[in-house]
Amino acid sequence: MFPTMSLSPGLMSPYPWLKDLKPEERGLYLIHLLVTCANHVASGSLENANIALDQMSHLASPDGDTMQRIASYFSEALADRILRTWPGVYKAFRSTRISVVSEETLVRKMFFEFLPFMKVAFIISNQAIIEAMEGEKMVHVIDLNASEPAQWCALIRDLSARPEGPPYLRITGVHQQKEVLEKMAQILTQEAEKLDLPFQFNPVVSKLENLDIEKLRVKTGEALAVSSIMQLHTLLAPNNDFSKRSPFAPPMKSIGVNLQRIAQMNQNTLGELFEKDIVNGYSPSNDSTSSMPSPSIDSFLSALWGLSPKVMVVTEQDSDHNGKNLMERLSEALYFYAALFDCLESALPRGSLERLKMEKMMLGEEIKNIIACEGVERKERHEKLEKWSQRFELAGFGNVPLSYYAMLQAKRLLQSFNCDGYRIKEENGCVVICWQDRPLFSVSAWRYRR
Amino acid sequence: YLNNHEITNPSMSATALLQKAAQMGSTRSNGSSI
Repeated sequence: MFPTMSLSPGLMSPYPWLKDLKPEERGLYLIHLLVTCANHVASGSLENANIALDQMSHLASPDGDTMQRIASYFSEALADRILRTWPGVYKAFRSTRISVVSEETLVRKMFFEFLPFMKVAFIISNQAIIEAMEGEKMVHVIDLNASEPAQWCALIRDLSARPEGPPYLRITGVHQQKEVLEKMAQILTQEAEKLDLPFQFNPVVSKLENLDIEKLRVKTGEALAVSSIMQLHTLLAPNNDFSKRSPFAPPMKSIGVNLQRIAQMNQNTLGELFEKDIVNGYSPSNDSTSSMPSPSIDSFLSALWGLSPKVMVVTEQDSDHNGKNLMERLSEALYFYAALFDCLESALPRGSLERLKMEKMMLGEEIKNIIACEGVERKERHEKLEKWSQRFELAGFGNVPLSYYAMLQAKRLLQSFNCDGYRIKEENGCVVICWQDRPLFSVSAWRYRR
Repeated sequence: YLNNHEITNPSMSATALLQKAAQMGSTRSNGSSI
């Protein structure tokens, strides 16, 4: 796909001519170096990978043009992958690293503010929820990553204004951090009080992968909606410890689900997915943990299905970053993140600290995870809408086509960003948000089907 | 080789650069591809 130019590394040192490259030449050369380096990493020739990384360090820059910025994060990711082959060195190298969770939350907020993707996801999700909940008096919404109150403030406003009168609303928020949920509870309670909407917030402090479905406290008689924004792909990693029972398994009996059907369904799911992987030419040998069985997504979806949701709205990155092969992932990720970095280029100046933070702490970390990690550590397993649709259908969900009104609202919102790069595409009743022709995020709605 | 390129747009987007790189890759007989 990309050219490998025949320049011997020996000619480069100390690369005085690299400085004279014009931006376009530099960009093309960076792409070449990235692909060359990744090939060396994949084949284990680390000496050559090191030479390519050294050259890249003269050309890439986290505050330069778009390609220079992307190249910085991809070269960092490749270096991270190399370092991981020496676990001792890797751990020591990172031993004093401080992870500031409040910073990460702040960066996600910027992503929500400066780019339209989250807002479009919120608008479409909420519209699907409102339509599914028409006439319902007891509404329960589960947010699988409750960090952004804006979505639910909007839902509270819409529900309080609906013609048949407001329902009793309960929102269950799942998040790792207690403080994030407390903040959420406070903001939403205020909004509901202001509008006189009977409201309760149920915080569940948990990582999604360890979530105990019972804690969601789904009651009979309430209409259930589930919302997941860029979360489900983290459950595609193979299970770490398969002697341990999946945390999603226990509640099934208590909520009266036909266990036999689920067991049978899981077999189908696994079998079909496995077959599909073979068809797609994945070679299992590249992934050190490929011998491990079912990823937790199957049991998680079965457990959600068991709660009989009236609607489940899912937003996911619409790109295949879950290939077993490093070069496949690198190629797909390059196109995907190039588009996202281009979006940021159109939104913020190069010197913007906010832009730098979003690129480094959010997109850069995702790139690193896709390129450097394998097995349970690889969480950013983005997959295309088609694969998700198959998975949901196998788990017993039926597609709920998004309404014309939902799409209209999304289109209006994109227009308000005053940038013609953003596009919206309808695909089998679902929505794909694109930058130019590149699909970036998919939004789809599903419901419990008997 | 690189210095012979004409510059059409000094601030080419990353997306456009990737497309250009892919085109160059497909037209070069000796270029390996991914």
